[in-house]
Amino acid sequence: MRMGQFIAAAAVGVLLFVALATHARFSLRAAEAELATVTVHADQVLATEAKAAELVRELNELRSFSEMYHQTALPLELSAVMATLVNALPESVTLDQLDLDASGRMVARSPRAKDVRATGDLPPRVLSGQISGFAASDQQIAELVSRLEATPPFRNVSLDFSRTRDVRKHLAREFRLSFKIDLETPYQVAKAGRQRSAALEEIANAH
Amino acid sequence: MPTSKHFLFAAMGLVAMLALGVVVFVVPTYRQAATVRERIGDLRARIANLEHSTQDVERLTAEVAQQRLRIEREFKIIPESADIASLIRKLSLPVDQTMVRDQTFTAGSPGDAIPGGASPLQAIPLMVDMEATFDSVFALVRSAESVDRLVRVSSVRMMCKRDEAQNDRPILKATVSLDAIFEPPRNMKEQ
Repeated sequence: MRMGQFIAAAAVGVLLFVALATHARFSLRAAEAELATVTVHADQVLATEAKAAELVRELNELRSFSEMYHQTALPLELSAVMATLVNALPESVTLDQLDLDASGRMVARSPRAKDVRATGDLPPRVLSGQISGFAASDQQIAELVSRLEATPPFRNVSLDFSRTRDVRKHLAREFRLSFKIDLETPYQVAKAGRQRSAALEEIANAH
Repeated sequence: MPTSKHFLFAAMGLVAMLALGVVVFVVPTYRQAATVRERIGDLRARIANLEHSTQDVERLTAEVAQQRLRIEREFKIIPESADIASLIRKLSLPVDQTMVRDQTFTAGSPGDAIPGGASPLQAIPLMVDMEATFDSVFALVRSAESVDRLVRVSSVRMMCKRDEAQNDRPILKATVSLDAIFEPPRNMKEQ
């Protein structure tokens, strides 16, 4: 009797062990099968992540090239500035000197600007312009100054001097004016009302 | 006839064998399965991010294409050499003594395109001295700005001597300073 009980208990124990071992094995196989499926998708993820990293690198290169290009090239054409200047000339104004210099940089003497220079940042680029000529009256010169002041991107337009001058036995007002254009911003130089060719003809015929 | 003591030993032996079997076979298998599930969880989390990553890739691809197109459309070519001769050929105007009385091209030595050498770009200054009409000087500036390569017009100076001026077409003395921008190959710059 006791022997039978022992054998039954042993059989139950062995069966439980076999069931447990089988369950563990099935569980592992199911997990491995799932891993195989998931790995296929994961490969796609890894490839996508690698592609994203490559694209970020390429984009950074393009951005840095773009920035370098903008730092090197001028944001506006000097011919457009010349055309705008000529177009802005009032009827009686004739130019005999024009000077545009886009190679300069803004010189600031403030302590803050010195700090900026100390960090290695270049001061902003600026175009310095100077025109001189003569006009029938000071009103015409003032009109030119006002027109330039009202035309972006011209700024700091200042009349350096205006004095009497004899032009072919006629009294005229000789003048010189200066202006600046910030070259750190992209611009579109606005065309004035008159046609450029007409204005050029005028400057040529005024002599 | 087996005694109680024998049964006890046999039962203990059986329990010990079963416990050993569990420790040797069952526990490591469950542990392995748990590790695999952990890895599955990790991969699933990354897969859940796949949609986001795919969107990122799509956005980045579009951005790269847009930047490339912009550079192609708006930017001029930056050659590997200054090729001043070809630039002069493009800019040179016929000296006809009417519109252009004289023109002189003077090339300088190469230097950094941006002061401080922060960029790999180099620039060779090219100075054009002219005695010509305003239209001709203007045409030269326009043509320097219109060439397909990057040329920076750094300054324009023109002056008309009234005494020398003719009534119909005044001749100006002009100086146009240009910078021919180029990007030398890296090994050449190092040399």
